[in-house]
Amino acid sequence: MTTPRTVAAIGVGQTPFGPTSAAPTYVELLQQAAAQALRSASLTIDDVDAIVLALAPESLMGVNHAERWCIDSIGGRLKPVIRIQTGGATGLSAIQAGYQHVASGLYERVLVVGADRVRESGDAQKIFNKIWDPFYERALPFTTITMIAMSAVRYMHNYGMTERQMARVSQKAHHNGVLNPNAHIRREVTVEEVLDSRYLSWPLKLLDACPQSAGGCAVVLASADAVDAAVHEPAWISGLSMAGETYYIGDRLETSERGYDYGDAEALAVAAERAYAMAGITDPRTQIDAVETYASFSPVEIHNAEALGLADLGTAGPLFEAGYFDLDGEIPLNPSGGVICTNPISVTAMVRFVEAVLQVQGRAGAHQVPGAKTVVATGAGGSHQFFNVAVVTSERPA
Amino acid sequence: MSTVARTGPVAITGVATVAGGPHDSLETLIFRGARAALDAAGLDRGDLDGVVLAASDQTDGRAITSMLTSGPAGAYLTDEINVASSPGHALALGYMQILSGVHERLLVSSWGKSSESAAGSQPAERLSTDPFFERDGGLSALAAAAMQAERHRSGDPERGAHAAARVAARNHGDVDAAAVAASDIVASPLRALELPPEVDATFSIVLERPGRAAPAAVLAGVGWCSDSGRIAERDLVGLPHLRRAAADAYGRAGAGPDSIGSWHLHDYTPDAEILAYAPLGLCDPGGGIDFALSGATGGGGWVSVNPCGGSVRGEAPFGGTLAKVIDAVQRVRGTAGSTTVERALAHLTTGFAGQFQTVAIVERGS
Repeated sequence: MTTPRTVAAIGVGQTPFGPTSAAPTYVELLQQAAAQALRSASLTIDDVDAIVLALAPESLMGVNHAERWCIDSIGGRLKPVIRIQTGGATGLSAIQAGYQHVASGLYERVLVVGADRVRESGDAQKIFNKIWDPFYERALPFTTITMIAMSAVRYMHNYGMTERQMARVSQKAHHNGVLNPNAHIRREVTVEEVLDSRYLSWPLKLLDACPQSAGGCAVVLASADAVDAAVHEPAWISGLSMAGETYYIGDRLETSERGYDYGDAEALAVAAERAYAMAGITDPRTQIDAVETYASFSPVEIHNAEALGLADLGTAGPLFEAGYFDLDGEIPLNPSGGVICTNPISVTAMVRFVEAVLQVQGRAGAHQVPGAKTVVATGAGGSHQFFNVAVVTSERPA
Repeated sequence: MSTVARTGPVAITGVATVAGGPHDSLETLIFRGARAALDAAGLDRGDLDGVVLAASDQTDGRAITSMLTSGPAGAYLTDEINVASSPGHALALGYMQILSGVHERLLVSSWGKSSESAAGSQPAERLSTDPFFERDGGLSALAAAAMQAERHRSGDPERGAHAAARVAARNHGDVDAAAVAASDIVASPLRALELPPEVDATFSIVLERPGRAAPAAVLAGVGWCSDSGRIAERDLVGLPHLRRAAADAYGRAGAGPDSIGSWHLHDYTPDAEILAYAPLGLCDPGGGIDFALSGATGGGGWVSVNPCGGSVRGEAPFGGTLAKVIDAVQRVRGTAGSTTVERALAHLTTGFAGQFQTVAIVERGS
């Protein structure tokens, strides 16, 4: 059996994230993120062998197959370029594709880049309302909000989660976001403010939910041979996996062999098992120093913590309340503020990866987790359907 | 630069092209294709550890089409990914996933089913143009193809048209060059019989790490490359990105053009096929029209080009270019109704006037 070549992130870039109305054009966001990642790797675009573009639903910013339009802006002319689209998971799926470019031995340095202007075509929800099957499920009505509300209700029924526990997750996220200079939402909120915010779809309230953000993100991946010890501070990809659920949510309502149902995140658990096996993680509660998980609503972070093996099924809610996942807690979750503070959909999952890289490099600034050496990043997309997991380490994997 | 060294082989253990029936939903069509490829490989869905889709949201008319389509293609709690830029790129990623050793067995799937849209794929294609500079000029996939053909034939329009008609006739198989030349002009200089009608079909390929079973064929090398998004800045005739893709594919396969026994070239127009000859090494730069008129690629010629017929007979939008790989596999397996060859080349394109080029070298399996 072939062993994959080891792969490291040697450069990362993020633009500041904010509202679409205040952001540069799509191609400018790509350029800014790519340039920043290349600078941080002390490289130019000529040093890059191939490019992976992360572009989720193109209808959000209104140009079909925009990979054709933006080739020049990312330096892709006369280079191998591919585009990845797995909904919200796109950013981490693109990292997976970039990883394969290097791990296969075909390329030494690969630029993974993406951007989004989520409100370019108006309210993203109007577009997401159309991702559902038009015959059976769209009319319920399913939206990205109601699908999570339904999951949260199921989780409440199964395990007794409270709206106060959800609010505590949001309070933590906002607190961390204040410390992150790139976050879109940077203001403290109290648990009471979250509980008092208006309902979007019970039990989800406005302050339990993510914003619609604009911004760009990029990563330079390299083989171990292309890492220059004098220049780079590599963050190694030690584990990487993806698993997808069924499209029809009605097919997820029964309890699975693992004991999961629609209130949980089974595919995330499957992806985590595979990524952990690849990384040699056998006890995530002691071997993982921090997690950047894709949770677009507060209850998602609760069931994600369980799927990632950080708590037993049904037990994470009280742990959030007790501060176990705070920035100064046992296992900080989303020290950057996470998706509740920043959601540029095409790169939301890539931002999770970049934040993991910054953590193991010790360069996360005010939201640094002291001594972080093993950090997990996750992505999620579709109808809470596509899940990917990356394990990023400061130590090169064996 | 990339490491263009010879790579280990990737086994192709099953392929399938399935045409859409009048009552097929998109899901049914994709399922039938995946099932047929898995049957050909002697596998079940649960044997796969990866599914690589090439799915176009704009062609399928959905915001995230892989939500719906990954299941019918065999993905459930499986590693899955949608390479939305090109079926050639999906093939390339599948190739890399096997080469890396991360995956053992995966399915690459693509399709086109524009019959659900009353106007076919062209209206949605127009929305993929640059919104600031090119969209208002009326650029479309058809217009870009016509611009490329016009540029190609500009040195001697009469000879260029003659060469194009001969190539289109050969790829049709059941019409002659005179009929092509007499068909209506659709977008000058392109005529109706030089342009593929849209059909519904799905294309599925099983890639594996060598060793489980005698493979139907071997994917010996893949190269891919892109050119500018600004059509006015591209060399629409020289196709430098195809030269690069071909060089990478040849390098990875450890083979050259002299060793290719069968050429499966993407004829989204006959000019596209003729323009590919030189970058692929079939003739000198600028010599495509002479080569086409020399009789080399016609019946009784010494070079086998599109022996399975061309895309001009009918092409599924977006996904259809993957058919070239399946044609190449059938040729090396001897199931294409003509002589078996040791090595075949598949040429895939996507985007306006072939903005994304992929070359795959397919060899006979053991």
